[in-house]
Amino acid sequence: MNSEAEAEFRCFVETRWQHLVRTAVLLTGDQGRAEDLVQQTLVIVHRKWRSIEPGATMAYARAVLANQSASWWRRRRHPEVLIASPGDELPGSAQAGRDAMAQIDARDELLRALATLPPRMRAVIVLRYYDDLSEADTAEALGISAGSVKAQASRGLDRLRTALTTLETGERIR
Amino acid sequence: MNATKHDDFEALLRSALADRAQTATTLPDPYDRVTGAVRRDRRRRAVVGSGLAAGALALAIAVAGQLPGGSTVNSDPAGRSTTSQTSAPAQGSLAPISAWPVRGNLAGDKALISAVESRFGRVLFADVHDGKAIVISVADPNQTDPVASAKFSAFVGDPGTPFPADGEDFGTWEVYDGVRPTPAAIAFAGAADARSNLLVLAAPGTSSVDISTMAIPAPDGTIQRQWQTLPMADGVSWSRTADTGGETVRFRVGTAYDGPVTIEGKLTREVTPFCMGCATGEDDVVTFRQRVASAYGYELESLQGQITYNETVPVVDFQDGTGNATRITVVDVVEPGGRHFRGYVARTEGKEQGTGSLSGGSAYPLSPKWNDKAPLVLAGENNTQVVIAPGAATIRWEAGGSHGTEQVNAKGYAVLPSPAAGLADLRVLTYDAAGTTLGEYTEAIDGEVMGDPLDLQP
Repeated sequence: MNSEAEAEFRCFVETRWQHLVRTAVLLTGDQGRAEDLVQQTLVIVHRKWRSIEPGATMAYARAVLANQSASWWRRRRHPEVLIASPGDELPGSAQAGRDAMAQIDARDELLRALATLPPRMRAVIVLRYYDDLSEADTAEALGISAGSVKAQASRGLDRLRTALTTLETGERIR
Repeated sequence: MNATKHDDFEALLRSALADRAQTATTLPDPYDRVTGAVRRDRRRRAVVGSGLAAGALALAIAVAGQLPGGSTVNSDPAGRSTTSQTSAPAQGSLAPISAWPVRGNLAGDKALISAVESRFGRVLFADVHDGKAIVISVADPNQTDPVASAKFSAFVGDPGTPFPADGEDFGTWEVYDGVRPTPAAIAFAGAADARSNLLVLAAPGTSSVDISTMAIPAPDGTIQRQWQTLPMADGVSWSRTADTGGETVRFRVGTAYDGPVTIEGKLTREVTPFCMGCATGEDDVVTFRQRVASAYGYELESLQGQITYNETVPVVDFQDGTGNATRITVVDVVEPGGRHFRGYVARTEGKEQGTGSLSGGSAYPLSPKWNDKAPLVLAGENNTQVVIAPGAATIRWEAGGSHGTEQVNAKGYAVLPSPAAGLADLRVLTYDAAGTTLGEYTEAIDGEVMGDPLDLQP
């Protein structure tokens, strides 16, 4: 990559990093993983920089991000959580514990339910309702048909609504 | 649900997503982080061509070193050049290993330190952990270039047991070794009951280490990793990891270094070392099944393995300069879901009987599109590249804006002409006699995976 293109890439990273991380946080549910995912995405964007059409870079990055995230979540199993000796909690564990104690409200329940959706369905919800992409743009980003986007969004919303309804009717088992 | 409720729900969802997204923090200089990753990405892709020869060299050093205790040396499982990993790091303010003090709660045990240093290299760490005494030392095994490689040793014994003097038997002390280019941090993985203790040593003052325990195969054949940050107490981190062999663990300290475990001890998942005299390949099947099970988290019994190639090919090698042909043994391992993994071993006989070199790496996942029909592209010295494609009649290569066609010979390989070998963005397609496409190698994907199948994303 020549210096002019590198400067353009730098500008792209600096202006888009935060938005991509925010999307990635919704996709992964974790800041650290989100940053890793965005970094991984931008390495791929850098590799393909010359071949990406001008004006389509963010769409390309979003597509890579969504697909990398889906692949990530499709892994066979979660790697274990390492526990630092002697018996210390990892950074974040304490916070997670505090979070669990926090007041449960509708938004929390929605986000919890979002995390349980299949990765592709979750990506559809995030791109449609956070990034405000159209069905067509979401379909292009995820490499699936607009019909599939519509169906996944519908099923995803149904599942989120069910989670919320369960909370409201007090059926949630605590 | 009526329209109003529908709108309310979507508004609530948008609001929840926006609020959660707002909690994401940003970095002061994300470009710095990304460019670091881009450099590592380039470096990994660049080592593909040198992996074969360098892996053999590393093993040759280990053999020449007459390692005590019958331990295995497998500190660079991908069989690739580790020089490329250590030449670039900006070690910056990190003190080199030569400047590290002795750390650990046995650092003041002068008798122990002296006993180890009289037989081995300088002690870096001496500690009682999990009921066991562990001592880490470093020495140059061949008294050659101390920067090029170093021999690390780990000694594990019962606390209070005297360390044996020169000539004495090690008794209950377990001894493990690893040889690698001098890194900025070292790691030792050793078993303790059903889990492994993982020790990472970095420069004094280092406050955290990033660790990834498992390689995760993605459906497209690539590998992904997840990293966890663990705190370090003055550059020392102990953690416990289950159900993994040491070869799958990667760690990094700051942006200075990332790499595999430096010394492997007795692990919860043992992997049989490659055998120089086992050219029939049957032992390689066993080893690669173990490696796939260990690296990717499968049950060993669930994996099927078979030799898919076992011939001598003109990959010019190695350190003895004989130019003797190299036997390439390829093993494909299939998991219950049908995903294919592939590993290969290169063996070159030396001039003298019983001498030679061996390079064996990890098994990497193949693209589901081609599975076992995917060709294997190997690089040797002098820009030679060989395409292993049993069952194919011809290959087409594309690289650097050029392209060409080569015949696959009776041994199932084709040699790339010199204009193609070494060019960027190599792509190879293989065809059967009827012209049907059998498989494809794309450097941007396969090359990256093969560079180190277990270590892709820092």
